[in-house]
Amino acid sequence: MFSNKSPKFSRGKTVGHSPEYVYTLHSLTPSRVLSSLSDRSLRVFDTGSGTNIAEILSFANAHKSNISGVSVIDSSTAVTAGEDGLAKVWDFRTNKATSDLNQSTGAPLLSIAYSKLTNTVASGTELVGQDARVVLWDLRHARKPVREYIDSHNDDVTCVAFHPTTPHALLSGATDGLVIRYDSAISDEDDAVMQVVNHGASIHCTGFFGNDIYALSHMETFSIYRPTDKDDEAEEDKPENQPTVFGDVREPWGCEYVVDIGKGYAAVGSNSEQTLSLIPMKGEKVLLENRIDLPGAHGEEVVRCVLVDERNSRVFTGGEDGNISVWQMEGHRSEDDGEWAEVSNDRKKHKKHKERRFRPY
Amino acid sequence: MSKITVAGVRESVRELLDYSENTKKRNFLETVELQVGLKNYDTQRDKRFSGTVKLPQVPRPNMTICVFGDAHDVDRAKHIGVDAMSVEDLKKLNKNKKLIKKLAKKYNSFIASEVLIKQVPRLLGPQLSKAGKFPTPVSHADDLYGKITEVKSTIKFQLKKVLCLAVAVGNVGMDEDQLVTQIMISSNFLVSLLKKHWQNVGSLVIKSTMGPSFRIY
Repeated sequence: MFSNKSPKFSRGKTVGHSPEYVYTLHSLTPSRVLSSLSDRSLRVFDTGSGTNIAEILSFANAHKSNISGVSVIDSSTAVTAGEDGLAKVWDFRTNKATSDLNQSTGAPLLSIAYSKLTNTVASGTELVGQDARVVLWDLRHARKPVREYIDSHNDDVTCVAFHPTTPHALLSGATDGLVIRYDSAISDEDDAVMQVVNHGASIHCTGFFGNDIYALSHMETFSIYRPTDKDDEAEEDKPENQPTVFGDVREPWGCEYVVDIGKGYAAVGSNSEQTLSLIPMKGEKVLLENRIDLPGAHGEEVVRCVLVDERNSRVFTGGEDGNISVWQMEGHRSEDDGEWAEVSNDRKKHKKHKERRFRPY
Repeated sequence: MSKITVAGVRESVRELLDYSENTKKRNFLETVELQVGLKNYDTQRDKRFSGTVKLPQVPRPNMTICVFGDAHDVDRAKHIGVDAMSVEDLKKLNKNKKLIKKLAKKYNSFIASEVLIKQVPRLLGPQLSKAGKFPTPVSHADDLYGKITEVKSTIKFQLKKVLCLAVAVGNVGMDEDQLVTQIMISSNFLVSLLKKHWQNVGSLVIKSTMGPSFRIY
């Protein structure tokens, strides 16, 4: 993940928004980070390449209710989901919401994902009456949903995820403990559902590891499942089809909760010890020995989001203390750091040509 | 570091059992619930509190289970006196919505052979998931009886927009020791999932279906 096998990280700048919670952090560009907070605001930060972070754009009241999910479309566009029942597309060049994605019921949206392969947005809803839906919009014809799957889940759909390279392959996870794989090109729901995985506990997040399906529950149980063919009538127990069951990961991974899994690492935290760690993962192998600690984390507060910036050897974290912190790998040099971090004699020579502070002597 | 002691819980369990056995005995087996009142928890902003608790004893013994099995598992099921259906039996339902709905209503839970479970969506459509009863997988290597007991002993919990949660932990037919263990295990497990642990717990109460509440924390 990082160039150094056992990197040490130290905290750079922190921006605070107490008493709000920082919910999500996404990378728009290598030097711009998008965040959503519990005050229903959407904010863009300039992060340069070092330990700096400065807010440059803020959208207050982005939704009339909690922002439940954010997905980046490209370097200047993102889509958000709200518990107000709307999904909105934002343009950060013109600084406004360019379209509202409506859906028939107005049910609160709880999750969102975007696929650039098909220019499609997927969102999961809260259970309203008997229905918890997965709704899809084609961004070229965003007036109304292009697909709605309404029969597959029995409770709040907390997570949706597209396959990065197979068009239309979609996963949804819900508090009913199920992860469902769809071919979203198919409109008939019976035919669109390709696989149902019973993870056995309320789903926190789900996604693809290659073609395998991972599922993490709200009680920190984690498993990796194989893709199956519903028309396969073979009756032997093929060993390759067995899932890898990690179970409750809190003890083996030395943590009290999992922030997120994906993109080559598991981010785990402990409130009582005030720590946050990144544990690299290579496929299914969890490399505990290469664990990276971010000392102090967000104090006793829960860390809600982690964004790894490998190129600049840094990590962004957001927590329930309202803080967004940048963490820099020690020993890494950044051109930007001249202005903000402690400048050593060495670094002065490499200082980038920027406006220098006026020095009369 | 638990804030409840075995001795303390035993006292309340004794009182609860005494009431249900002697003071006001009902003509059905009352369930014992653990009711958790949370504090310092923001239902709007905090992470979901939701999952399952696995208990050593089956809290509600009258749960009905049906096994969808290949030949091997149908045999195993019949051997232990549990209803079972084969692939042919499932195909006979012909994806008829009414029949499948009836099937979903007839049993509390379903278990399916791992080799068969991938066919369930095609054989039965989404009705079982919609009813919250999609089967739990069992492999040939698993002990079927053990799996059935596991499914019966696993209780769901979910906090939804209000600060209290109730979990079935036993019944008044259990003896004191068993109930105390069930209560200790479920309380400590639920608390371990809360970010501030005991500081997030306002109260813990045990209650039989039609009896009074007894506070244990």
